[in-house]
Amino acid sequence: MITRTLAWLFLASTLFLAGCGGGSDTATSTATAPSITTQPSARTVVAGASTAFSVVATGSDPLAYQWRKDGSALSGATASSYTIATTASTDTGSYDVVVSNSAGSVTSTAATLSVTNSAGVTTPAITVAPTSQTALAGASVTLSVTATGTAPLSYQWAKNGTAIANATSASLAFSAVATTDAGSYTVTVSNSAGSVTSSAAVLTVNATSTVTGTLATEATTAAQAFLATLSTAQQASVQLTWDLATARRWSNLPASMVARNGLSWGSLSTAQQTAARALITTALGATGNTLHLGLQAADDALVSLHGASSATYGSGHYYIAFLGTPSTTGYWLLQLTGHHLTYNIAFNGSVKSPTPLFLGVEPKGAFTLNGTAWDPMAAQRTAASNLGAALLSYSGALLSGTYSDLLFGANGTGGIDGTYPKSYPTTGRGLLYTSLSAADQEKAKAMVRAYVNTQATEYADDLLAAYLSDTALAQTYVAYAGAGTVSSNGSYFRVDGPRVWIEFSVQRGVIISSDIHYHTIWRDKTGDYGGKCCS
Amino acid sequence: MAASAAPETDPVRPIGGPPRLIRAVLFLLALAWAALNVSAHPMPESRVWVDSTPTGLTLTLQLPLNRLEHAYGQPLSDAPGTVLARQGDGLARYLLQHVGARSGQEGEGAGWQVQRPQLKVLGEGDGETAELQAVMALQAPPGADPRQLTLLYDAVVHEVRTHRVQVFLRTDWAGGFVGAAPLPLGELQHDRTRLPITLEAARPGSSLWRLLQDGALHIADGTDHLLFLLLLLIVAPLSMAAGRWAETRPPRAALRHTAWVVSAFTLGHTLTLVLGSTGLLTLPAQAVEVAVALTIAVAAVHAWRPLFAQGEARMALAFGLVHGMAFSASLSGAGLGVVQHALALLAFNLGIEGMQLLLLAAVLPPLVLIARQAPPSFAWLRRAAAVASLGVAGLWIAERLGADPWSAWPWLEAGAPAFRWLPVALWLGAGLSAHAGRTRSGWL
Repeated sequence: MITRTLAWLFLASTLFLAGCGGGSDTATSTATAPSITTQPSARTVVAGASTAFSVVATGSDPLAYQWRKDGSALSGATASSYTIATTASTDTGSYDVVVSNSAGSVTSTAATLSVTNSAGVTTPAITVAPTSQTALAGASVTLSVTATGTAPLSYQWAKNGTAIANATSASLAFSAVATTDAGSYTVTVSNSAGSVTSSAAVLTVNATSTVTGTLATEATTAAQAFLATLSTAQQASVQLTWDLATARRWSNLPASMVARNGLSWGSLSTAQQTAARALITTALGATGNTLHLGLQAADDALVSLHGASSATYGSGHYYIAFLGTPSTTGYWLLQLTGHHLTYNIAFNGSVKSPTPLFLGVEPKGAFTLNGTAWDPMAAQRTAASNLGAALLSYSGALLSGTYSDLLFGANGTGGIDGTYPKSYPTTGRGLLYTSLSAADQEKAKAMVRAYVNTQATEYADDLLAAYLSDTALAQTYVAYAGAGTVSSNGSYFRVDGPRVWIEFSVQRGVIISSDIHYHTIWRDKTGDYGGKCCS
Repeated sequence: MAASAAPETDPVRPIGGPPRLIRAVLFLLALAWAALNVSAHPMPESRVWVDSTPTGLTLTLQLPLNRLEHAYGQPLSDAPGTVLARQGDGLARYLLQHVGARSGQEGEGAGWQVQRPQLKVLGEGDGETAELQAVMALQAPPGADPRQLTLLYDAVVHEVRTHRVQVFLRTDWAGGFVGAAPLPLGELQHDRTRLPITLEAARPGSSLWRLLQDGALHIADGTDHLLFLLLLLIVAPLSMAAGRWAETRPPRAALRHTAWVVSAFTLGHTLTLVLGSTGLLTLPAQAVEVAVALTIAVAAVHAWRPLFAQGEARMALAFGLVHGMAFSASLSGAGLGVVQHALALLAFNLGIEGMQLLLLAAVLPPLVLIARQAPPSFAWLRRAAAVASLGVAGLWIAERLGADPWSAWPWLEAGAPAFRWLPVALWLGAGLSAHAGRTRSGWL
């Protein structure tokens, strides 16, 4: 009985599936996808000579070709052969071609091109130059270079132009970097045919915070007062053990999509909310508290003014958590996170910092909720708008490519903060601060202040002194992408210093899809999570 | 009452209670569904699902239109519904330029052939969440290993610096990876456009064997399914009279009755497993889980006092439908070919059947023995099982609706593994009652 029923069922379901055409191989085109009969071949040429790669492919006409060097399309290289009339050492690389037609495509094997001197020895060429790095004092740092050329290759590292004794391998390691190690590093790679010197990699060493203050003590008192209002079960939820992996669990997605640490605002009683608010005001100061209130109000506005689901949006879905026990001397983190706001205020760490600090807002500007007028991110928006207007007149500030969101937002797997270390860009950083006019330099500084001044005075003073010192500003870049205005989708602004990293992205609204909204982030390259990120 | 409402009584209805119960179940399902329908927030990444084929791979790309348009250079998200008509050919050519593969860990081998993608727009109604789905077949060059390659992929990311592409292995039939959660293979972005992929060595039959085990384990690990079956079996040795459990059936009749009930349950869950796994029937997982717990509650009440006068088989069929939906959650057919999918369903279901029969063999004989030898003890056992199951089902319902009832009775959850010793306990009980039967007295 069972067997017979099963047999019939499977027969029926198989026929049904077949009838539905559940399979994916329904292409019945008569065209044949290309295949390659002769692959491009590797070659070695003397600098200055001409050379060409070619491919022979079969398949239905017309066939289209696109040659690529090291994976990037070469513009105009769309014939079956690719010729370089006068080779130079910079042409060294890996070449391939994608052949396609209406039925499909095929990639050729990769063919390397080596450019040599007249004796047939390939001069060294640097394929991966040492990159500028920023580290907190005491961290381990390694500078390294990758070069090609006829072996044997020898290496010599130099600091500020002076050769370093015994630094003659492809990498240069510091087990515990000191502030005196900061400087500009180059490496010279040589063989019998010649030598090449890398571009300079700047090593920046950030000191740990030494300013003393009372904020940690005041915040601890306020935190303990808040804890005292909680039930035992609530205390267990709000108090977590410090761990970087736990700290990274914040997002720019609503809490219903990416779970947060700690207790939700909506689960707190009025008395508990009052104690939490007192703690937030103490830890952030008045400006930061107003911003926290404003971004909670913006989420409420999405529900009451724009029809978003209250199950996902609204101030009740903002969270508070402690990572590490609040104490006047030991390390602990106050994490405040919700849909469009995350503060990670670290106490008693090696660096005084509230980063990573995510700010976003929708609706983007002013709104009135229950009779109260709000414009939570007015300060940051105005600063970005002024900076963007200034940067439009500097061609060097425009980044290539499209920035549709933040580069270092909550980009990790699962929509949380990604792993460390972050690979901050070392090229394509935009325009140096020192290339700006005096008036425009002020706009760049105003952008930094708009973020740092969201913190209590003790932290803001310490960080502004570090970010806006002459030394730091001399290594700070500003950049934009897209239209460069805070009202057009796809605009993007960035301040990128030895420590400070601020991104401001203008993107289409989610709930109010006819408008744009903002995602912005402030990171400290060596000070995220009070320095626990990076040392 | 509305004119279209169903008549209060139906003279030819063979079962008294069940339709009302089933209506209640459906009502709760609908409620749970509504609660789960919260508004979505767009996922900004591209996703690539990898399925192995005998000659290479099939890639299923899901590209958000509002990111793709930056790289493609033409607006797409403003009118998702007409994207294919306007840009279908251009998009196919774009993808052929930006998705490829070569053999070898470093991509040092020969290039793979990529078939023109089949395109579809998902979520056409909304420019912010609409995605282009592209299914592309990749074939290894002649003589090359079709299970080792380096993916060369820079669609969208060649232009959009903030974009990421998550690559997952979805199914690998030959390698025995099927019916499992997709395995993340890596993430691609602007400065990382190559991903070496090495599939495990092909082992014939490995997928079928795995699915068979999955099906068996699904029952063995699913305390809720086990409990439900047990409640069906515990009344098998009994016949009913005047709305109560009465006479003990002869073993032969008990066996025949059990065969009927189990066949009906199997028929029910097979139907919804097939429908659910092929995607023809989709229900929110939470609602299904709540419904499964409800079936246990109903079966528990039935074990106390019969609810289904003549229709135990029908009840088993209806409840089989519910359990089958739960099974189908663990066997998605995504990425499988037609024949593979049919075989997968067969193997998974055979695994389920095998484990059910094993349970039957372990539990039914002692139940029949106890019921015959010591009817009062059996009645006690039946009622105890009914009460305990009803309690546990209630906790499950609460848990699956989002509450945390276990925190009040943590030992209950911790004690779940002890459930496995139940057949041993029953055999012991049967032994005792057989002994007591010889001495003409109860064992309690």
